[in-house]
Amino acid sequence: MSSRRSRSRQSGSSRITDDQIIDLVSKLQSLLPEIRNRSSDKVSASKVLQETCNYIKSLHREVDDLSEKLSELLETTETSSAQAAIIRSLLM
Amino acid sequence: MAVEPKKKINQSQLQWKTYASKLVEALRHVRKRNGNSSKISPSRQIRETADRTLAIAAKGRTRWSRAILASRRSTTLKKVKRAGLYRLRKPAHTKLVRATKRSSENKTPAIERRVLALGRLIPGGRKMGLPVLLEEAGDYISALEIQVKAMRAIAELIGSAQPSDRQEMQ
Repeated sequence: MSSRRSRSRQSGSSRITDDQIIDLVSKLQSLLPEIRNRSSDKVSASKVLQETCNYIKSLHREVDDLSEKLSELLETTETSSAQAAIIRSLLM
Repeated sequence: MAVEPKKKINQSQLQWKTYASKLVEALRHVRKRNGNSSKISPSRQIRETADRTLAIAAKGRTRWSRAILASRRSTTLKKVKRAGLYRLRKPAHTKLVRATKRSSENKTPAIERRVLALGRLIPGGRKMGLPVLLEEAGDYISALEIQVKAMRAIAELIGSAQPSDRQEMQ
Protein backbone atom coordinates (compact mmCIF):
# COMPACT_ATOMS: atom_id res chain seq x y z
CA MET A 1 0.00 0.00 0.00
CA SER A 2 2.75 2.44 0.87
CA SER A 3 4.55 1.66 -2.36
CA ARG A 4 1.49 2.75 -4.27
CA ARG A 5 1.60 5.99 -2.38
CA SER A 6 5.14 6.80 -3.36
CA ARG A 7 4.43 6.03 -7.01
CA SER A 8 1.31 8.13 -7.17
CA ARG A 9 1.83 11.37 -9.03
CA GLN A 10 -1.36 13.00 -7.92
CA SER A 11 -0.58 16.05 -5.88
CA GLY A 12 -2.28 16.26 -2.54
CA SER A 13 -3.83 12.77 -2.49
CA SER A 14 -2.00 9.62 -1.62
CA ARG A 15 -4.76 7.28 -2.61
CA ILE A 16 -8.12 7.95 -4.12
CA THR A 17 -10.83 6.87 -1.75
CA ASP A 18 -14.27 5.82 -2.77
CA ASP A 19 -15.72 8.64 -0.73
CA GLN A 20 -13.69 11.20 -2.62
CA ILE A 21 -14.95 9.87 -5.89
CA ILE A 22 -18.54 9.83 -4.70
CA ASP A 23 -18.20 13.36 -3.45
CA LEU A 24 -16.78 14.65 -6.72
CA VAL A 25 -19.35 12.78 -8.74
CA SER A 26 -22.16 14.34 -6.76
CA LYS A 27 -20.65 17.78 -7.30
CA LEU A 28 -20.61 17.09 -10.99
CA GLN A 29 -24.17 15.91 -10.79
CA SER A 30 -25.32 19.25 -9.45
CA LEU A 31 -24.03 20.91 -12.60
CA LEU A 32 -25.93 18.75 -15.02
CA PRO A 33 -29.22 20.36 -16.00
CA GLU A 34 -31.11 17.14 -16.65
CA ILE A 35 -30.33 15.36 -13.46
CA ARG A 36 -30.73 18.48 -11.39
CA ASN A 37 -34.40 18.60 -12.23
CA ARG A 38 -35.07 15.05 -11.17
CA SER A 39 -34.71 13.52 -7.74
CA SER A 40 -31.04 13.70 -7.10
CA ASP A 41 -30.53 10.89 -4.66
CA LYS A 42 -30.66 7.79 -6.75
CA VAL A 43 -28.39 8.56 -9.65
CA SER A 44 -25.52 6.18 -10.16
CA ALA A 45 -21.96 7.29 -10.80
CA SER A 46 -22.09 5.65 -14.18
CA LYS A 47 -25.16 7.65 -15.12
CA VAL A 48 -23.60 10.90 -13.96
CA LEU A 49 -20.48 10.24 -16.00
CA GLN A 50 -22.55 9.39 -19.02
CA GLU A 51 -24.70 12.50 -18.68
CA THR A 52 -21.58 14.58 -18.21
CA CYS A 53 -20.07 13.27 -21.42
CA ASN A 54 -23.30 13.80 -23.30
CA TYR A 55 -23.71 17.29 -21.96
CA ILE A 56 -20.17 18.31 -22.87
CA LYS A 57 -20.63 16.89 -26.35
CA SER A 58 -23.84 18.83 -26.84
CA LEU A 59 -22.19 22.02 -25.60
CA HIS A 60 -19.35 21.48 -28.05
CA ARG A 61 -21.84 21.01 -30.85
CA GLU A 62 -23.61 24.19 -29.89
CA VAL A 63 -20.38 26.13 -29.89
CA ASP A 64 -19.53 24.75 -33.31
CA ASP A 65 -22.95 25.70 -34.65
CA LEU A 66 -22.66 29.17 -33.19
CA SER A 67 -19.18 29.54 -34.68
CA GLU A 68 -20.62 28.62 -38.04
CA LYS A 69 -23.40 31.13 -37.60
CA LEU A 70 -21.05 33.86 -36.46
CA SER A 71 -18.72 33.29 -39.39
CA GLU A 72 -21.62 33.78 -41.77
CA LEU A 73 -22.82 36.88 -39.96
CA LEU A 74 -19.37 38.40 -39.78
CA GLU A 75 -18.91 37.76 -43.47
CA THR A 76 -21.64 40.22 -44.28
CA THR A 77 -21.39 42.65 -41.41
CA GLU A 78 -17.76 43.48 -41.26
CA THR A 79 -17.72 46.90 -39.72
CA SER A 80 -16.01 48.18 -36.64
CA SER A 81 -18.88 50.45 -35.79
CA ALA A 82 -21.37 47.59 -35.51
CA GLN A 83 -18.99 45.75 -33.25
CA ALA A 84 -18.37 48.77 -31.09
CA ALA A 85 -22.11 49.11 -30.63
CA ILE A 86 -22.25 45.47 -29.64
CA ILE A 87 -19.61 45.89 -27.02
CA ARG A 88 -21.39 48.89 -25.62
CA SER A 89 -24.73 47.17 -25.36
CA LEU A 90 -23.13 44.10 -23.84
CA LEU A 91 -21.62 46.06 -21.04
CA MET A 92 -24.91 47.73 -20.32
CA MET B 1 -24.84 32.06 2.15
CA ALA B 2 -27.75 34.49 2.05
CA VAL B 3 -27.42 36.19 -1.31
CA GLU B 4 -30.28 38.17 -2.72
CA PRO B 5 -31.56 36.49 -5.86
CA LYS B 6 -31.22 39.69 -7.85
CA LYS B 7 -27.56 40.03 -7.02
CA LYS B 8 -26.94 36.46 -8.00
CA ILE B 9 -28.42 36.89 -11.44
CA ASN B 10 -26.26 39.89 -12.16
CA GLN B 11 -23.20 37.91 -11.17
CA SER B 12 -23.70 35.25 -13.78
CA GLN B 13 -24.78 37.81 -16.36
CA LEU B 14 -21.61 39.74 -15.68
CA GLN B 15 -19.62 36.58 -16.34
CA TRP B 16 -20.82 35.86 -19.82
CA LYS B 17 -21.05 39.50 -20.75
CA THR B 18 -17.44 40.04 -19.76
CA TYR B 19 -16.41 37.05 -21.79
CA ALA B 20 -18.53 38.17 -24.73
CA SER B 21 -16.86 41.55 -24.98
CA LYS B 22 -13.44 39.91 -24.76
CA LEU B 23 -14.48 37.55 -27.53
CA VAL B 24 -15.62 40.36 -29.79
CA GLU B 25 -12.29 42.10 -29.29
CA ALA B 26 -10.42 38.88 -30.01
CA LEU B 27 -12.43 38.26 -33.17
CA ARG B 28 -11.67 41.75 -34.41
CA HIS B 29 -8.02 41.27 -33.71
CA VAL B 30 -7.88 37.93 -35.50
CA ARG B 31 -9.74 39.30 -38.48
CA LYS B 32 -7.41 42.26 -38.74
CA ARG B 33 -4.37 40.06 -38.56
CA ASN B 34 -5.44 37.27 -40.90
CA GLY B 35 -8.09 38.80 -43.09
CA ASN B 36 -8.98 36.14 -45.60
CA SER B 37 -5.58 34.56 -45.74
CA SER B 38 -5.88 31.96 -42.99
CA LYS B 39 -5.43 28.26 -43.56
CA ILE B 40 -8.48 27.17 -41.62
CA SER B 41 -12.16 27.63 -42.29
CA PRO B 42 -13.72 30.82 -40.85
CA SER B 43 -15.98 28.92 -38.49
CA ARG B 44 -13.04 26.89 -37.22
CA GLN B 45 -11.14 30.11 -36.71
CA ILE B 46 -13.98 31.51 -34.65
CA ARG B 47 -14.25 28.31 -32.61
CA GLU B 48 -10.55 28.40 -31.81
CA THR B 49 -10.64 32.07 -30.95
CA ALA B 50 -13.60 31.46 -28.66
CA ASP B 51 -11.79 28.58 -26.92
CA ARG B 52 -8.59 30.52 -26.60
CA THR B 53 -10.37 33.55 -25.16
CA LEU B 54 -12.19 31.27 -22.74
CA ALA B 55 -8.93 29.71 -21.65
CA ILE B 56 -7.26 33.08 -21.16
CA ALA B 57 -10.16 34.26 -19.04
CA ALA B 58 -9.50 31.36 -16.67
CA LYS B 59 -6.18 33.02 -15.83
CA GLY B 60 -4.24 29.78 -15.57
CA ARG B 61 -6.23 28.46 -12.66
CA THR B 62 -7.54 25.36 -14.37
CA ARG B 63 -5.79 22.61 -16.24
CA TRP B 64 -8.19 22.45 -19.12
CA SER B 65 -7.51 26.12 -19.85
CA ARG B 66 -3.76 25.63 -19.69
CA ALA B 67 -4.10 22.63 -21.99
CA ILE B 68 -6.00 24.69 -24.56
CA LEU B 69 -3.37 27.40 -24.58
CA ALA B 70 -0.51 24.91 -24.71
CA SER B 71 -1.98 22.84 -27.51
CA ARG B 72 -2.16 25.74 -29.94
CA ARG B 73 1.47 25.47 -30.85
CA SER B 74 1.53 21.80 -31.69
CA THR B 75 -1.84 21.17 -33.32
CA THR B 76 -0.95 19.66 -36.66
CA LEU B 77 1.46 16.96 -35.60
CA LYS B 78 -0.73 15.92 -32.71
CA LYS B 79 -3.74 15.51 -34.95
CA VAL B 80 -1.84 13.32 -37.34
CA LYS B 81 -0.55 11.18 -34.51
CA ARG B 82 -3.95 10.92 -32.91
CA ALA B 83 -5.60 9.84 -36.11
CA GLY B 84 -3.31 6.84 -36.21
CA LEU B 85 -3.95 5.92 -32.58
CA TYR B 86 -7.69 5.94 -32.91
CA ARG B 87 -7.51 3.35 -35.58
CA LEU B 88 -5.76 0.94 -33.24
CA ARG B 89 -8.73 1.24 -30.83
CA LYS B 90 -6.53 0.83 -27.81
CA PRO B 91 -6.33 3.73 -25.37
CA ALA B 92 -2.84 5.12 -25.13
CA HIS B 93 -1.17 4.50 -21.80
CA THR B 94 -1.81 7.97 -20.48
CA LYS B 95 -1.94 9.04 -16.88
CA LEU B 96 -5.71 8.79 -16.76
CA VAL B 97 -5.66 5.29 -18.17
CA ARG B 98 -3.08 4.24 -15.62
CA ALA B 99 -5.00 5.86 -12.77
CA THR B 100 -8.25 4.25 -13.82
CA LYS B 101 -6.75 0.82 -14.08
CA ARG B 102 -4.95 1.16 -10.81
CA SER B 103 -8.12 1.61 -8.80
CA SER B 104 -10.27 -0.59 -10.94
CA GLU B 105 -11.23 -2.94 -8.08
CA ASN B 106 -13.81 -0.34 -7.16
CA LYS B 107 -15.07 0.33 -10.64
CA THR B 108 -16.93 -1.64 -13.21
CA PRO B 109 -15.62 -1.69 -16.78
CA ALA B 110 -18.52 0.55 -17.75
CA ILE B 111 -17.43 3.26 -15.35
CA GLU B 112 -13.86 2.87 -16.51
CA ARG B 113 -14.93 3.41 -20.08
CA ARG B 114 -17.01 6.46 -19.16
CA VAL B 115 -14.13 7.99 -17.23
CA LEU B 116 -11.82 7.57 -20.20
CA ALA B 117 -14.43 9.03 -22.52
CA LEU B 118 -14.72 12.03 -20.25
CA GLY B 119 -10.96 12.36 -20.26
CA ARG B 120 -10.99 12.62 -24.01
CA LEU B 121 -13.62 15.34 -24.00
CA ILE B 122 -11.86 17.65 -21.61
CA PRO B 123 -8.75 19.42 -22.93
CA GLY B 124 -5.72 17.78 -21.39
CA GLY B 125 -7.96 15.29 -19.64
CA ARG B 126 -5.85 12.27 -20.38
CA LYS B 127 -3.01 13.66 -18.37
CA MET B 128 -5.12 14.03 -15.25
CA GLY B 129 -5.83 11.70 -12.41
CA LEU B 130 -9.43 10.87 -11.63
CA PRO B 131 -10.28 13.34 -8.85
CA VAL B 132 -8.65 16.16 -10.78
CA LEU B 133 -10.54 15.19 -13.90
CA LEU B 134 -13.89 15.33 -12.15
CA GLU B 135 -13.10 18.71 -10.67
CA GLU B 136 -11.93 20.06 -14.00
CA ALA B 137 -15.03 18.69 -15.68
CA GLY B 138 -17.23 20.79 -13.45
CA ASP B 139 -15.31 23.95 -14.15
CA TYR B 140 -15.09 23.19 -17.86
CA ILE B 141 -18.84 22.70 -18.12
CA SER B 142 -19.50 26.05 -16.46
CA ALA B 143 -17.06 27.68 -18.85
CA LEU B 144 -18.72 26.10 -21.87
CA GLU B 145 -22.10 27.35 -20.71
CA ILE B 146 -20.69 30.86 -20.49
CA GLN B 147 -19.25 30.45 -23.95
CA VAL B 148 -22.58 29.36 -25.40
CA LYS B 149 -24.52 32.20 -23.75
CA ALA B 150 -22.04 34.77 -24.96
CA MET B 151 -21.87 33.52 -28.52
CA ARG B 152 -25.63 33.34 -28.75
CA ALA B 153 -25.92 36.91 -27.57
CA ILE B 154 -23.27 38.08 -30.02
CA ALA B 155 -24.94 36.30 -32.91
CA GLU B 156 -28.22 37.88 -31.99
CA LEU B 157 -26.75 41.35 -31.76
CA ILE B 158 -24.88 41.11 -35.01
CA GLY B 159 -27.88 39.60 -36.68
CA SER B 160 -30.03 42.51 -35.71
CA ALA B 161 -27.50 45.15 -36.77
CA GLN B 162 -28.72 47.62 -39.37
CA PRO B 163 -27.82 46.78 -42.98
CA SER B 164 -26.89 50.42 -43.57
CA ASP B 165 -23.78 49.85 -41.49
CA ARG B 166 -22.32 47.94 -44.39
CA GLN B 167 -21.42 51.15 -46.14
CA GLU B 168 -19.00 52.09 -43.43
CA MET B 169 -15.73 50.38 -44.09
CA GLN B 170 -12.88 50.19 -41.63
